[in-house]
Amino acid sequence: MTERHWGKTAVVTGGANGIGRGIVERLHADGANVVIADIDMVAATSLSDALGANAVAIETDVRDEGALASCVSQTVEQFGALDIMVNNAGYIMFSPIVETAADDWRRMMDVNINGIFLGMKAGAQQMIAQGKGGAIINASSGGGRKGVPNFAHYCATKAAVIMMSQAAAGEMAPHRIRVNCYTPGHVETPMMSGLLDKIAGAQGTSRDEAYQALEDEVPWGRWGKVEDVAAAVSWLSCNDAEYITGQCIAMNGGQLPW
Amino acid sequence: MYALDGKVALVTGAGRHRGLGEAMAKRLAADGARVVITDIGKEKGVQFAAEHIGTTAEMDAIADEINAAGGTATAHICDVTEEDQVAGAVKKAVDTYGRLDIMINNAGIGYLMTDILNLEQRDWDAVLNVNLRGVFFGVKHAAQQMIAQGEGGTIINVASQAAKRGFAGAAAYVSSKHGVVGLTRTAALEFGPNNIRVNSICPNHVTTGLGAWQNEHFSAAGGQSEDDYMTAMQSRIPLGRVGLTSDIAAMAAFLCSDQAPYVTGQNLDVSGGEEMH
Repeated sequence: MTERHWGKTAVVTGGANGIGRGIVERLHADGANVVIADIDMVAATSLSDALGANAVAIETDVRDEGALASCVSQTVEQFGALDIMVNNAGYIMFSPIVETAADDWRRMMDVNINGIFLGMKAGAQQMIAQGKGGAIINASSGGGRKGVPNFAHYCATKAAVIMMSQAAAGEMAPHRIRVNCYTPGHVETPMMSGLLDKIAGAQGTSRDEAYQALEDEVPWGRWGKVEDVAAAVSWLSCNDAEYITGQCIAMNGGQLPW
Repeated sequence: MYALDGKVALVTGAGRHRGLGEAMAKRLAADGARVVITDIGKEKGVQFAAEHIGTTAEMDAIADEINAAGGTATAHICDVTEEDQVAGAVKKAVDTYGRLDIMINNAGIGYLMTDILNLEQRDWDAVLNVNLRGVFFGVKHAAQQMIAQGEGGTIINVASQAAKRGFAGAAAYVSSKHGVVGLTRTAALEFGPNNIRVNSICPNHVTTGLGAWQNEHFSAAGGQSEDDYMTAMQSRIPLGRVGLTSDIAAMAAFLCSDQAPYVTGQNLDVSGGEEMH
């Protein structure tokens, strides 16, 4: 059951840390060549060194169309093809609407929406040229299905990802490129860890209490793990998912309606 | 070493060749699970073509095929509309293989299609009893067993594309499948603390025996040739083909595996992009 992606090549944007790192590690363990496309080259290089021969780090700012095109062409140069494009790069911030600076709003749109659009475009152009299909997987979130106070910016971007993915699925089906997205609940990552203090501050609770309150919302009784997301991404990329496109796959421990 | 080694699965409505239940049972067996397949089963050799019900002989043949392929399966008669028979099927799994880890509530009825103005209570009840009451009994008795074992488990209910949109002329079927979604969400909430994941699969058209009948029925009802009907259907599907039983089996295998440890309460479309919500 391991090495299901033997010989395939995957690009994971934002692959150096958090969920992206989990996806990189899982796809690599499943036999794929992996490209860690990230702006954090210290973490990206450290990860590619740890993984060894079938992993490379490529500095990629997803807001930059040229950088994504270059990332894809370097990937093809290195590994011969691109089969799996995981547009994972994104970030979250705590910011009530009335306190959100327009520039902070625009920056989030730029990374979380434009970055995914540009990643889909660069990945699909290569896959169409190759003529053998492929899998594109985009990072959405439970926040894209249900509004969360103080995260209007983030929720807006993640809802956009769902609709972009659906539109892309229809557009790219004739090329046998499947486009899906994943919608986790709260996942234990460095980014969420940083956020907890702000959530606790807004609620007037301790960090531990804020953590517990979020855990209590989950029927499964625990926070999500990066491995939960990575396992589903690996499956969405494999041949078993050949008829799955335009879908949001949720891993949220039953936290509904996410 | 396979993904489901050591697991025991029960698949209802798995006694028809070409069916979703057969494909899921065979896939789980190939992945290492020991499988109890059930169907309503009529007497060996007796065909009930008019009612579209499989025979015991056909169900036994499917179990034999699994065993001949190196898997482990046994067949058991179960009418899912009868609570004691569903409880009996769970008991059969436990008696035969010692436990129950995976319950697939697949048995369904897709005939009796009539517009609402002409839909009789008898037909409404027949469809709801199999498709919704039967799933309720399956969820209830599988969960009871899994809770008693104390090691969690996985329950999969087979819903449909008809759980996500209406279809003219199929009110009872559509209502029953929407009901399965509500039942799935609620069961996921109730059994989360017991580490039992509950999800549903929503296929679009698959040309099973039932699917073939539906093509015949709906093309005739719409005054189309079956070819034109199928061409129009395929043109609505982004991936350009109808579903295969293997597509549904692959999703079931995923949901049962350790690749989906945090996926519960979901209703997953396997539809080539025809449904996206």
